[in-house]
Order: sequence, then C-alpha cells, then structure tokens
Amino acid sequence: MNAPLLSVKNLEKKFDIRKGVIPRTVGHVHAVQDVSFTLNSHEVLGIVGESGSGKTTIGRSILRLTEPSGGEIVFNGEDVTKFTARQLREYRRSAQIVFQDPYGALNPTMTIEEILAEPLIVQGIAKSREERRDRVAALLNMVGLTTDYMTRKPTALSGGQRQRIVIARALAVAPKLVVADEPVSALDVSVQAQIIALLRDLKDRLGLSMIFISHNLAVVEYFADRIAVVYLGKIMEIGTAAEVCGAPKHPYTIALLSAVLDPYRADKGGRITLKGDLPDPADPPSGCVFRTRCPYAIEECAMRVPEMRDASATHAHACIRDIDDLRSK
Amino acid sequence: MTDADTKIQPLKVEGGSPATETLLDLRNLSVRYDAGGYGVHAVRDVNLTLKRGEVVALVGESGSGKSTIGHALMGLLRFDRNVKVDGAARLVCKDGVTRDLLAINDREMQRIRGNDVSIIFQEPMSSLNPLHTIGHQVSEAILAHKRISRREARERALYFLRHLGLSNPAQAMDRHPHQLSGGMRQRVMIAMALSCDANLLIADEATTALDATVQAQIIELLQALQKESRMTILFITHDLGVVAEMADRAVVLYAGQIVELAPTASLFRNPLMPYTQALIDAIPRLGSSRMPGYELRGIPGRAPSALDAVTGCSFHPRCPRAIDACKTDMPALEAAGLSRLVRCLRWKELEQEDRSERAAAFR
Amino acid sequence: MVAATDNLARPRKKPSFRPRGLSAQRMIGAAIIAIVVALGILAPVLGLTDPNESSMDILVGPGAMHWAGTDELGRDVFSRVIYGARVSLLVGLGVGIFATVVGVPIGVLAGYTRGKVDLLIVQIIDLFVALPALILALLITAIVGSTAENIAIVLGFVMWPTTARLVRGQVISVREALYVEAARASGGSAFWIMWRHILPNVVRIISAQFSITVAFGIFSSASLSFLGLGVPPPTPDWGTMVREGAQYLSFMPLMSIAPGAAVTLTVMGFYLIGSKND
Repeated sequence: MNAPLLSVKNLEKKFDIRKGVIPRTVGHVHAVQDVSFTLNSHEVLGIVGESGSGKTTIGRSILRLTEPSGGEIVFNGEDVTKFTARQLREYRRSAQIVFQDPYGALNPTMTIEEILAEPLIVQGIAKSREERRDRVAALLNMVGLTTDYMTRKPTALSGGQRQRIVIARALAVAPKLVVADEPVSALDVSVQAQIIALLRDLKDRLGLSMIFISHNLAVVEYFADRIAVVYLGKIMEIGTAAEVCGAPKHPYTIALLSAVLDPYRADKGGRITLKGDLPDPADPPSGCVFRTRCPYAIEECAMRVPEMRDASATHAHACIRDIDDLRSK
Repeated sequence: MTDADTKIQPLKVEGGSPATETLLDLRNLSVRYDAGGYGVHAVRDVNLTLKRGEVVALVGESGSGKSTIGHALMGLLRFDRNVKVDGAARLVCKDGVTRDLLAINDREMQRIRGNDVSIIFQEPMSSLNPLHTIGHQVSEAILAHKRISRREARERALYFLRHLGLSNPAQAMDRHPHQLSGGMRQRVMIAMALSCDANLLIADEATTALDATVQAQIIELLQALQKESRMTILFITHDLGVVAEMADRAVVLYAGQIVELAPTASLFRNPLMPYTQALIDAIPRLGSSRMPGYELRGIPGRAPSALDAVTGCSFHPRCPRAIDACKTDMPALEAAGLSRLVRCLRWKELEQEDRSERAAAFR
Repeated sequence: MVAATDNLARPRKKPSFRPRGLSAQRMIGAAIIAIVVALGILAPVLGLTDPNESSMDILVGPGAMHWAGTDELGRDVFSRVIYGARVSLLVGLGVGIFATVVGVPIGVLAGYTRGKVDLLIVQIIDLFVALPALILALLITAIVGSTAENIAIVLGFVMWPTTARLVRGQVISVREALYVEAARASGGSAFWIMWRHILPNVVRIISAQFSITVAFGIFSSASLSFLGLGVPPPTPDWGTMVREGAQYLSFMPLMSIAPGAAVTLTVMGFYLIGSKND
C-alpha cells in the first residue's frame, strides 16, 4: 500500500472574534493556516508546538470534532471534510482520539464498564450485553487493568489509571488512526513513561497509525517516526525524528530543542533563547510569523510568507535563510 | 543590565552575606491532616538547612509533600483547622531576629511575607488581581513594605519590569493581567516578588504552566537575578530538568519524606536511591531517535497518597531493587559522602553493583 | 502539565456513617412532609369533625372537644387545619409540576441549542426573574379569578423561568464537558448525548428544584389567600383561615396561629428537602 493513510492539504481553521452586546464579528484568529502533511500506515507523526500553535486544533479538525474552515483531509482515499452525518459516524470507527485531561474525559457518574461500552453501543458493535462485557474485559486487559475495575467509577481511579481507560475507550471500536492529544501531559513523570510504553506497545500490537500531539519535543522524538513543528498555526519544519531533532533547519525548532531541559544533555552550546513573547494570534506578524522572536530575522522575512524548502526527500522547512551556515560561523 | 538611575538601589541581599551563613533551618517539619478521625501525614520529619545565596530544589511527584512544605513555609496552612504542623522553620530575618515561621502570629507573618520571604506561584493569573493594572499592583506590593512615595514606588516598579526583560514596560504598567501573555505575567510576579529585596524566594512550580521556550527565558532570567543579588531560592518542582539547570542542591521527596539529598551534579552523575534513579530514567532523553535500543522506563504502580499505609520503606512496592527487609524496616536518612543523604537500606551495595556494571560496560 | 498539587488536601475516602444524600436536614424535611401528606390524605378517615360544620360553640378556646378551639362560625379549627393541608398540597404540587413540565424542556432547549433561540429564551427568563413573582401572580389571579386550578397555573407560570434557568445552566456545563465531546467522538448522536449524559445530570437538579418550587407554591398560595385572592370558601385553606382569624386575634389567636404554623412547617419541610447544605 503506497498511498498514505491520511493526507491533509492546506488545512485552515479560523475562529471569529465576537464583541459587543449584540455579538458582531470583528476579526479572525487563524488557529491553523495552510497546513499540509501525510501519514502512512503504521506510522506515528508527532506534531509539536507550544500554546497558540494550533496543534490541538489540527488534531481535532482531522476528526471533525472541530469543523475546518478550509482544506482537504483525505482518509483512505475519501475527503473527510465532505462526509455526511452517516459517513462521519462510520469514519469515527476508523479514527479515534485520546484526550489530554483524564479527569474531564470520563463521566464521573458512569461506571468504567458503562464508559467502555458506550462506543460499542453507539457504533452497534457487540449487540448483546454479554458480548459487550467480554469486549470490555478484553479492553481492560489490553491496557493493563483487571476486570474488577469494571464496576468502579472514575473518581476511584488515579490519573494514570484514568488515562488507560481513555485509551481503552478509543480502542474499543478498533480504529486504524488514533489522534493522541497530549496524552501524558497531565500525569506524573513516572506515570508518563508508563503510558508512553503502553501506547507504544499497543501501536505495535494493533498496527495503529498515530498522530501524537505534544509540547514536549523529547517525548515526541522518542515516540514518533516523523515530526512536524508548528508555530502560530503554520508548519515550520517537518521531517523524520532523526532529521528534525538531529539536524534541525528552522530557528524555531532549534529554539525548542534548546528549551528541552535534559540533565544529561551532551552539548550545552548552540542554544537559542527566544526573545519576546507570542504575538497576538488575532494580529499575526506579516511574512514569516516567527520573525518577531527569531534571532536570525532580516528585513526580507517580513515581506513574504516563506515557502517550504526541501532539505531532503523527507525533510522540509519554512525559512528563507540557511541557518546551518549562520550558526557555523 | 545596569540602570543609570542611581536613586534606585540595585537588587541586593541585605545584612551580612558570607555564602556559608544559614538563612532558613527546617527542623523535624511534619504536617498532618486530621479529617473525620483519620490522621494522615503529608510531610514526615523533614530536616533541611538553606544557606545564603544557594538555590535548593525540592523535587517530587504528587503525594511527595513538596507543595505542602512550601505552603507551610508561606504560612498558608495556618488557616486550615484540620492541619497540624509540627517542628520548626527558623528564618534569619533582615532585622537580625531569627523567627520560627511556623510559630509566629498572623501579623508577624504578614510582615515577613514580602519583606523577608517572597513567593512566586505556578499560576500567575490567580495571583494577580484582574481589576487593577500591572503598574498599580507592583507599586502596591512595593508600598506594602517600603515607606516611599507613590511616585517613587511607580518608578521602582518600572525599573523592575524593564530589568526583567518586558519589552515595553511603560505600556505594560497600564495593562491588566488578562491582556498579558503567561510569560509576561510570570515576569510581573517575579518583579513583585523581587521588589522588596527579600532574602528568600520560594518558587512553587513557577515555570510549570509555561511554554518550554518561555520557561527557558524565565529560568535564564532567574539565574541572572540570583547571581546578581545572591538571594536564596527554594525551588519547588516536579521537573528534574529544571533542577539540573537551576539548583545547587536537590532534595528528592517521596511520600512526605526526604529520600535523597545531594549537590545537583552528584545527584545526576551518581543517584543513590532507586527512586531517584528511576525518576531520572523516566525522563525521555533528547536524541533518543539516534540511540537505537533506547527504552523509556516508567515506574510501575503509582505514588502513594498520604492515605496509603505502607510498612517499611514507602517506595518498596514499586522499587526494582527491593528485598524482603525493605518491606518491614523503614530506612533512616544516612550520610552518604560529601553533603549527601540517602534513605535506602541497600544504597551501599547498590552503588557497588552499579559501579561494577558501569565498569563492565566500558569494554 | 503535571498536577502540581499533592492529593493530600482531602482524604479520598470519607468515613461515612450514613448513606450519601441523607443528611440530618433532609431527613427532618422528609419527616415533616411525610406527616403533612399523610394527614392530608387520611383526613377523611381520621374521625375528625366535619370542617365545614358550623356549630353554636363560637370562638371557643382549645379543649377536649375541639383541640384547637373553634372559629367565628363554630367550626373546628384543628379539623380545618388538617383538611387545609389537602388544598395546599394540591396547589403546591400543581405549581411544581407545571413549572417543571414547562421549565425543563425550555431550559434544555436553550442550553443545548444556544444561538438565537437561547438568546431569546434567556431574555424571557431574565424578565420573569426580575419581576416580583407574587405581585405578578396577584395581578393575574385578580384578572382570571381565583380557583385552586387557576392559582396553581398562575404560580406555575410565574415559576417556570427559575427552573428553566437552572436546567439551562446545568445543560450548558455538561454540554461543554470533555466526556461529552468524547461521546461525540465515538459517534454518538445528539439524542444519545442528551439521553445518556445530559439528562441524568439534569434530573438531579430538577428534583431539588421541584421541592423548592412546591414550597414556593404553598407559601404563595397561602399569601394570595391571605390577600383575599385564594380558594373560595367554604374549602378550608390555610391562608384564608389566617385572614379570617386576623379579626379575632386578641381573643382567639389560635385561629390564625394554627394555620400559620401549618404553612410555616410545611414550607420548611419542602425547603429542607430541596435545598443544598453541605
């Protein structure tokens, strides 16, 4: 199968800014602008960015939990943005999401069994109660929990356990694509590693394709095959994990790498600390959106939006300057 | 970053300053919560001494007690009737008097806060009043502890904001908190915390809620300020990366107790307590994509909450190197070399094992 | 971001000596209501004097024959108070039902659909909440005439916005919840989400509000009666009884006090059961 599982082209999402007693639209926030990438089967694409980068919006748009304002999302040859309600429901059997917040993602008044059975009921999988119970038991097993969790309520579980339930629920419909939106950010460090190991194991066993969204570049480097770095709704750099983290070409990527605080970091030199703060997303800078914080910005950066340049067949970035040359001087 | 305006004092620690002088001494600090007949220990028997000019990190995950210690020192636990704090936290104040933060009355605590101890919290949005401008709030913070005119306070506020790298401080002064970004708000918090020349700064997860690049900026800023003023910082965090970056010494907490204490470099070079080792291993290493065979290892199970009664060593249920004795005997905190303490029955033999393993790895 | 707070502020397991939801407050309220309802239902079989039977023993004080004395027409006050419970309960219940049946669907509609429909409904709700309920009820009753049914409907009409507003708030908060989005991500339809997630959460609020609305209904109908717009005689009605007894306050205070106490006690009972007090 050579065609990619998922192909996103020129994805766009605008939010209207409304002000006034009788709400009027006074402006737009471009949460996502002109984002394009592909995802192959059994591959993990990491999307890395900070607040305001639009990474969560990208993930949500792919599943149409947020309606995109423009662009194409082609899954298995079909354009998701044009799906009818019925097609959308079927799509939701193939594409699922793991949320960031394990505390809010589970209805506190439902038992674990009910929570895990819900997708089965909604999608018409496993028609009888016994069948559903068996499947729920299998799901619990898959995420490393015992069946006596079935009767418990989410409030009795720890953060890590809840997140396992969130993962189990996403897998209940046996999807091909899983969007994991900051799946470990709300957990303790020691539990984060547990859940990442679990996700990795499940990905291999079930042959999942994943989009892993995170602000933590070190985690993404570990987990993802390819990485896309986003800033203010645009992709700054995209390539394999080794390329993006080992030979970054975009100043923002370099800054993100510098910002990772690794106690055993080999080279402390070559760090970039960005100046200033994130610009107002409702009024982004002209030309390259990153230029206001970029240590290498020149006049030309304000004049046009940089196109993606290929550094190799798999590696591309959006910067008009050659950072490698600048930094080696 | 020098300011030509000589009227305003540069940031400096007042009152004697050899680096070996003790500033804060915690003795037998314990915090117990009484709720409906249950007594649970959030913090058990913590002893720690902070010297002037040093940066000490309290590291731990949830249930470790690190935040509770911070709250106890800030005097935030005195309002809760169900909380019982034992032990002493003696602070050498600027006027030369040594006071026990846990024993003084509310009014004295009020005077000390801001003057001798300043605090930065995780969520600047909840610490700043949304109704007042930044300029107003920073000035108020200054005026609370210094007898100067309002205009002088405003000038001083402006000075601090500029000093902290706010790109347009005059404009920021007239803005309200919600109009600023997270990084800017945190900088305002730092400005407020620093404006009173306190000797001790407690930073409670001060960078946790910030983006990575902003965190890097704030840490750089704090390092520069600390070097300049030689103030003592007690940094409470769960992030070992931040510890490695900022702290001179690290205090690792687990289940309300100190389990390891060491200078930061030694801690990372040679962790002695299995929990510390496991915690370090749980952080994904940069460059993992180019390290074939690298596997991220978590710690099975979960951190005990204060409610879980564990006999013996509190870490034994999750410890990869526990033996039977660990289940029954609670280890005491032992000295382990230069300025190091460890709470583990097996630390000596484990160190030996690891050393010989590492030697074997070097073919 | 990692949870920075230790889970130590409150122990997870509360040592509970009684099942959740049954506080002392609720038990007292339930007891009062049980007694009042029982008395109201069983009134005819309790062997009481006919409440409408006048006698020659006018304005007699409490005694063996008449436990609470008699009124100006020689009717047994005690018996009238007990029978008065029936009207009050019926009207109160009627108000509660009307307000709930009208308020809940409107609240759900407003909360779930948002947009222009919601905006309109919110304005209507705010209008009603701003107006003094009793005065409005007074005006309308004066126009349409006071029968038990009318009073119940009018009071219900005045009260539905409060219920709607509460329901709307609850629907909105549940609607925004992450687990609802998760249900949507699983393929759940709007109906499914409403049925499985929103309504169960709403029901909890409705029952509490119902009690309070009934309390309001009983109190307001008694007030209307007191002002002369109540259930027409000879039906024993607490408010009317208080009104009639007002003239004889100096020598037969029990005529007003007895029904007054009954109103107070009953309203309190319904209020205690419905209001939150942790």
